[in-house]
Amino acid sequence: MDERDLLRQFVDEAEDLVESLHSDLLILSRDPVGGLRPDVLNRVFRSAHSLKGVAGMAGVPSVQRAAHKFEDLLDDVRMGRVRPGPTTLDGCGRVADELGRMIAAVADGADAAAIERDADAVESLVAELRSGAAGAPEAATEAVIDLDEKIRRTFTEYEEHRLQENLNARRPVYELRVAFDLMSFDVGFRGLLERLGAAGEVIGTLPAAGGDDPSRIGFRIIAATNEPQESIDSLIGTLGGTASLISHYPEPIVEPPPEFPADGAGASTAVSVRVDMGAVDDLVYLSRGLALDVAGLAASAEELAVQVGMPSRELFDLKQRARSIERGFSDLEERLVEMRLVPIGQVYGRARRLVGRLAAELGREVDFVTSGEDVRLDKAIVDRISEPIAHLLRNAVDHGIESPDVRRAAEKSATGRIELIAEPRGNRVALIVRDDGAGIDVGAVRRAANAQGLAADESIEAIFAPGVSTAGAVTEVSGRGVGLDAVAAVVAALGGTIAVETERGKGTTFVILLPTTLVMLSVFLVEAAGGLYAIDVNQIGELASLDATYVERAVQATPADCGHVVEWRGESVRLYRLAELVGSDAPSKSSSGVVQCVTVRIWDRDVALSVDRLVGEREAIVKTVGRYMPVLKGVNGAIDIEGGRIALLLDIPGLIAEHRRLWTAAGAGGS
Amino acid sequence: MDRDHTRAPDLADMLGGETPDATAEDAPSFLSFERCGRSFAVDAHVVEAIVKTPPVTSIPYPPPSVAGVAPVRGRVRIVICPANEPDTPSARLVLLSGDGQLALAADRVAGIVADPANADTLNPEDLIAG
Repeated sequence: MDERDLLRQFVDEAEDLVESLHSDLLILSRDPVGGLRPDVLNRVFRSAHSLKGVAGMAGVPSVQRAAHKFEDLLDDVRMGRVRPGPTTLDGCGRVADELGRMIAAVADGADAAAIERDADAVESLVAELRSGAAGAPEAATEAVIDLDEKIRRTFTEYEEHRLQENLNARRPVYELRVAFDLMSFDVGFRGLLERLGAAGEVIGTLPAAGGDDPSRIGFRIIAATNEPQESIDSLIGTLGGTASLISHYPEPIVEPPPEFPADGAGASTAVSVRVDMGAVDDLVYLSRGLALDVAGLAASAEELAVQVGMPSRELFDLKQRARSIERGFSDLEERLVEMRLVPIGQVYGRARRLVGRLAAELGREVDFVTSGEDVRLDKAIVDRISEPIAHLLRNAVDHGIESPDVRRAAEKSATGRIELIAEPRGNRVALIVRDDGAGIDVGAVRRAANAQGLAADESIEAIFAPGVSTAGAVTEVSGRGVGLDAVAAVVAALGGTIAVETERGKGTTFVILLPTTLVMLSVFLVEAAGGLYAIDVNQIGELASLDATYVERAVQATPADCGHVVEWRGESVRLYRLAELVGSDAPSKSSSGVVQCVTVRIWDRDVALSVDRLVGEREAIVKTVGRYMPVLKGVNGAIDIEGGRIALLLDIPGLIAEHRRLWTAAGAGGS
Repeated sequence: MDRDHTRAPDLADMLGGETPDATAEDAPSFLSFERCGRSFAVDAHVVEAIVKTPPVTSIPYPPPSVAGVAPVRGRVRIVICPANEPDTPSARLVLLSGDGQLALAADRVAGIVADPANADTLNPEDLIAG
């Protein structure tokens, strides 16, 4: 493995670990009742520990040092040496953010000295968290525990700490003795630990005598739970074991704290394997390739069958078998594509901390509400959409939610509300950022749009257009335009759309609609300049036929840089020749006096693309063109077509931007 | 050039055993090939395979050396002409390993050589970046 492979593997693993840190810290922040869940806290510790390890292996000492400091802090917290304060969890989230940034810097080949400085910053942050945390708690002196001293002496520091914590929480502690058949004890033992973990906490396990039967193996389990004793007796009784309550308190237990939710995380028994995303994609491509081969083979077989006069019954069977195989490949593809999907909740933890931190800095009171954490999206989409989401949230806190005084004066609750919602919509996913703040001044946006030369009747969605968010417009629209063109550009590059609704004094809602995956897509194929091109159907408004003479007049009348102006359904629409956009000077073809067009939604408006032929719609597997795809302008991938050919999946906004850039450069050079 | 290579790749492996010029495994480490009358060499250890050129699809606004993209073994490769004559069809593609998914257009593969003195030595990273 060369150095670059090693570094890439490190970045992949480190990113996964930081994601785990974020999602587990989010679980901890949501479940503060009864203290931090030890199983989740352990996972956080292990993630930091693993990050230190992979950084050491890959020779990235800055990340190794930062992760080591974080690991030390987490170890002290889980061991009870340091008691977390009110801001500790938020601080841990900031550390995870910093680590994530360091890893991104490593991936980008940033200056090592700069990354070292980031490690210094992490170290300072960890020191700050330590100083803000409390010391170790006092031991619960009133509890009495009936546990053989020899056994207790075998406890690790961690087990002893967990025992003490459970006694402090006055949770009943049991000693369970149970034996399992030697041949299958792992399954039975693991199942019991899962059950006990879901009902409370497994503090420690020790092997014990299995009785007279040499085919059995015994275990002694120390567990704490608020489940009624009868339930524990019944559970262990069905396994032929015994349960003894070993903790006693001077006074009766009153109102036990709620138990941990049973999310299957009680005992770590997850069976998973890390798979490189590229390897999954290769399998998807292979499956699609085989499906196309089968389709081709079936067509040839059918032709041959007809030629040799195969009876219709056998011919029918042949077709059925071919379709069955094609369906099998289609199912395989779908399952493989699903392996790329991850819950959008991964970005929620960071979003929560961002909103909390900004609200505190700006003196806003904000109730941040999330839903749809489990909605799944392609990992590549989740990775790229997190910054635009953060951008919208920053705007919502900074420019949407008013100060408590202003809100009170407007007879609104002093606490503003910001929602981040993910919800499935057909084969797409909507990400909604909503606030109940001041809303956007639509008039100001229009004036800003006018100042940029956009038409006077532009809707609020002109706020996404490049140029509206210039410094001159910022003041007038209260900053809501800042960088929204960049948000819209990322959304468009992912094949999505963004819309905004706003009402003065009531608030603003942004809705981002994204494909679930970048790999499997419905595309429409068109022909232009002798090539076959694919367009994401979700971007297509409609298919149209325009009179060829009319189009020719429009082409002659207006320059091509910003598209030729044509009237379509009573509105002016910019028309581009796709052949021109893909850089060809081939003449356009029209038949029967009409020009075939597709309209595509870009930003807030439709543009029309004239093509030589509308071929049709199909489900496609989108292949990446590799690491250098950004070098290729206006291309979002490629799809396989029958006969070993490929069609390029077009990035229409990218093509138009490049077309304009070249047109302007040619003009500048000529003048 | 300081290299930590224990075994030079076998040209026969790259070509599926099709072409002869395979040499002893201990000496050479450059693949030499011709394109548009010029000789080029690329580190043999970054060569994944050599294949017959499949149909190449043109791309919009290509960088000067890029002929287009081509489907090879399930992946889409960016086809680069080292002689900067992308419109001239090639007989073979030299597939490069890694996540760049690059392929070099070649008219004839000469063999694996230890000293590429008479050829332009290519750095695949520079080819696409221009």
